Amino acid sequence: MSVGKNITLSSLKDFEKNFVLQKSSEEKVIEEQVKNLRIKVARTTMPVKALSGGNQQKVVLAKWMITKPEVLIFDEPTRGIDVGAKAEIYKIMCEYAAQGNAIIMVSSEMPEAMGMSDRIIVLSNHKMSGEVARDEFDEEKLAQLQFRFMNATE
Amino acid sequence: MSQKTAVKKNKMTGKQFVAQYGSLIGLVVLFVIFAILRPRFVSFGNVRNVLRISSIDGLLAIGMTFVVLTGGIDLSVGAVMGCASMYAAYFAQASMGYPTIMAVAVGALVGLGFGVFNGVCVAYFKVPSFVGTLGSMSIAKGLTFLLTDAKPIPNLSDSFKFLGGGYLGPIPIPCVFMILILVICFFLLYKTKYGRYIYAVGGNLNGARVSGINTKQIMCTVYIISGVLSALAGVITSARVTSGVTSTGDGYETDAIAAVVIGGTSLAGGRGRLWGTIVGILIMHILSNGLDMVGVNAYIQLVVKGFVVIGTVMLDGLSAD
Repeated sequence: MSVGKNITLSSLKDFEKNFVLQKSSEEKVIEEQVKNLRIKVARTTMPVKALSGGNQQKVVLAKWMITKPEVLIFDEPTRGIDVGAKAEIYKIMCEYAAQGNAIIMVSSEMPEAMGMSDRIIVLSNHKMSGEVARDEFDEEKLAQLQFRFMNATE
Repeated sequence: MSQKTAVKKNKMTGKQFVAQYGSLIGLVVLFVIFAILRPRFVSFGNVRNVLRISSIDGLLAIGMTFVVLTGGIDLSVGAVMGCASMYAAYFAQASMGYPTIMAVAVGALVGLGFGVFNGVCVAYFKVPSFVGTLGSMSIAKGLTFLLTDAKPIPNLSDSFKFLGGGYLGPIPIPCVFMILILVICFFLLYKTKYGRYIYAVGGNLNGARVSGINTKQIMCTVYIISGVLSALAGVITSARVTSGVTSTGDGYETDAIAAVVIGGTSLAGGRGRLWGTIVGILIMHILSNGLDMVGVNAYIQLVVKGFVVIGTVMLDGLSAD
């Protein structure tokens, strides 16, 4: 599917009028998202698999941001993505949070979690082992929390 | 935007051109070849006849396109066509006195029934479409023979027969019907949410699901479309041949799949165009008609058809990369 169609996939009802999809309003929103998220693509009609991993991730992001969620959940958002796109995604996430929205990010990269979060909840062996506020962020402490419930018999 | 990007927008490589328009070119070439070999091929009467038959059998390919776009296949189309044709013919008998609309409704209901059955099995019970529709094919065939113990149903009412042999001005009724169906299907596939979802489901089932699409619903309904269209093809066929025969639709599933594939729709799902199927339908029927006129043995035709299908998909595979 094309980049554009992927972007609007989860919000198609916004472009519907009497069951008909309005191409012009759809294209406007697509252009907007491509601009705001700085998605690198020559034509939005290109198949999405032609994009780099980072840009593909931005397309997924755009898809959900159109729905204007108050809470946005990210699961390992930058895994396998080049450094440049990584930085851009962080920027987008921060901008979105700054607008008053909430973001829940699941990450296994400590630097990422420490850099991005206001608070971190650590899970150990499927259980919540602790919550740490930003001013108390400490690598050792977070690592310890990770292993807190780890020596349970398996 | 730089000058380079602007140029890229309008240029299409030779390979892409063949991929996009290859089958259309093939269609035109075939048409021209037969027109030269047998001038009668392009006579108004012959063209009209080819269009009439294409409009009936083509309904199977149209329905099949929807199913194939979701990555599935419907092997029951031929059998459902036959089943619907018999049951509709039963209620269309002049002696029965039922209105034609009822005979048509019965036929459509047969299609709806099998469509729902296929759809539910594939979408909700996770039966692979190949297996599910193969089973339905057998069920449909059985039910077809059971109705009259395989005896044909002749003497259908005039109003029913009109559906297959009548005209609206110079246009055969089946063609009028096909045009109507095409308008609806083009609209459905290209102008609605539903059409988008079909492509999404076929392109990446899990991706579609996590994007908030009710993938089961989409997967189920395409089989309903296929079932109903196949049934209607059966109804119009018994109207055209003026009797219900149990052999109707036998083996038609292969031609339907061939038409879809020749038209450029990928059997893997998510890629394909409806007009491609139309070209595929026309190619299949022009081949049949033309080869008949040139006097080629019907069995050799089968061999030719097989090579055409394989050849087209091979070319498609070579041009994509």
